[in-house]
Amino acid sequence: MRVTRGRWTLHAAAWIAGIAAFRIVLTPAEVCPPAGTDELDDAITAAATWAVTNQEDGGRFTYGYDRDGDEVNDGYNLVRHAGMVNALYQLAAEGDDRWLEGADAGVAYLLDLVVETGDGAVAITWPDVDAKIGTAALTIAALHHREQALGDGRHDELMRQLGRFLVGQIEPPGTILGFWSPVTGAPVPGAYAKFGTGEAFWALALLASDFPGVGWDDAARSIGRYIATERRQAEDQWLRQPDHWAAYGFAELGVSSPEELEYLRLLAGDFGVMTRFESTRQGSGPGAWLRGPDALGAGVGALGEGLGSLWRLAADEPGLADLRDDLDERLTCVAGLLVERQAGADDAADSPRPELVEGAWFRQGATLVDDQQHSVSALLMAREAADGRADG
Amino acid sequence: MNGWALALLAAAATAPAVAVLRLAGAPARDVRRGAVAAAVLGVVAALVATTLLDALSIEPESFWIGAGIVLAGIGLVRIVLPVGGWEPVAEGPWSWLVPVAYPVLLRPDMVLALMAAGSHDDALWAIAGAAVALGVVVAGLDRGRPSVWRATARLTAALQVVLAVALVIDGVRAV
Repeated sequence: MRVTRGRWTLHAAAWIAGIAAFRIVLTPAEVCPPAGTDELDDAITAAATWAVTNQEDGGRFTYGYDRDGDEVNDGYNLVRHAGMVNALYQLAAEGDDRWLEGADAGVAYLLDLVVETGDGAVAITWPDVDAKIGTAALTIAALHHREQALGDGRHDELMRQLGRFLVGQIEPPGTILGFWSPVTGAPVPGAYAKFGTGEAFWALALLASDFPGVGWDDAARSIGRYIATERRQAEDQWLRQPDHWAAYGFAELGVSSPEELEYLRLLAGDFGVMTRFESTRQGSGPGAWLRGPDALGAGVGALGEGLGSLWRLAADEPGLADLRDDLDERLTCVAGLLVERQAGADDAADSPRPELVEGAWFRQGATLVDDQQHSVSALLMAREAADGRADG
Repeated sequence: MNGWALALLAAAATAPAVAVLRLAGAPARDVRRGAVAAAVLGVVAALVATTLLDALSIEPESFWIGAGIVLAGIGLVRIVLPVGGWEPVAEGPWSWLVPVAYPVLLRPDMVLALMAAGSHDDALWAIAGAAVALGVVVAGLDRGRPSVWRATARLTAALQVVLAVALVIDGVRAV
């Protein structure tokens, strides 16, 4: 029997089509733009400048901007406000004090919204609006980094009061209620915050570091154990939450059980695969159609924060040491993507409000303050990693 | 995945039972030469995997996911669909190459499995697995009942699906 030319051609065509489909759909090019320390510094400066240049007199940040419609977003979110303040203080803690004035103004805005919740605890919220644990948690983080920068102990009592509020929200298994009602004067039962648990974990871990020996570590560890072992089932999460706040918390508190170590290795994998996927998003064509537009700046930044936190932790935790180089590589990739995608002076020149464009990360024409918040924190960690490589 | 698992995956993806069924009646000398040719090409695929992926800007871990998905898909098809009719065997001096080495023996899933192993730093295990599978083809040609080979084909396809899922999980969990 003879193989016909047509059959042979059909086989070859099937191979070629298969390889093309495999390349386009499953294994597109992963591009991590290079970014040196100068580019990282410039990106950080531009993003922080965006935050403080567009800050109101009362310390409130511009919440967002739609450059396509030239429209300022009038909404506001106190958790994101506290997060941006924290990012500015993180810069100050690394010796860059250009942003202290803006960060202090941001704290002043929060101080006006402090409400007592009983038993020496305070939360931060607008009148008659439920307080979120995330606002308290990220305010603690901000004040922790302020203290690292200035060391004046000015807000130590407020940090403790906010910490007591968080502890008061913890339920026995380590779950933490996400909201507190000023109307009832009590936590809102059965309501949890998606990111609040990790934020509170990190905040309590920071308090344990700042004020050792008074029990903050016990509270933090109960939440950490819950995150690592029970949260996914308890909060009905189909997929594990890629929780960069939890990574921050464990980086601060360390690992205390094999279960936590296993969780962190899985979390590192989650951040890794998300970074690899994000690095395939570029340009146009069928690949862009398949993979959608670039992720939010906040999303990419949060990836970097998670990777950076685990990279820091891997330096001291033997169970993660084998991942450190890979974490470094992915963090560097995230930083390159952020630098490449940040709006620059050229983008701003075409805008009626260039100050609301330059230094920001836009997705489908819009930016929010947390795009800059998360990106600044991530780039700062990437800078630290780059310095580490330079030092050998 | 460890070396053993990658060797099994490469062996399953080589699908020796399918090849035995398709090559029934082919000259044994052609099958031997074709198996050697397929093995050589498979070795090349495994050894150049890392370089090739790097040139294409594909991280190995991402390749494992893509390859695992395809391997699982092909495996599922092989479980569900019966092995097709006899592969027509060419006459002439080059029949060991076409169609014996290609397309019967050198299969896309075999190449993917070997490249995945090559980028996993376990190329030798996978090469050994594929070599054993090709040896089974040579030794089993025109022997045994077709029904036994069909059952074996489904069994190895099921093994391929399981190991391919493990490969995907490896890729997802890797940083």
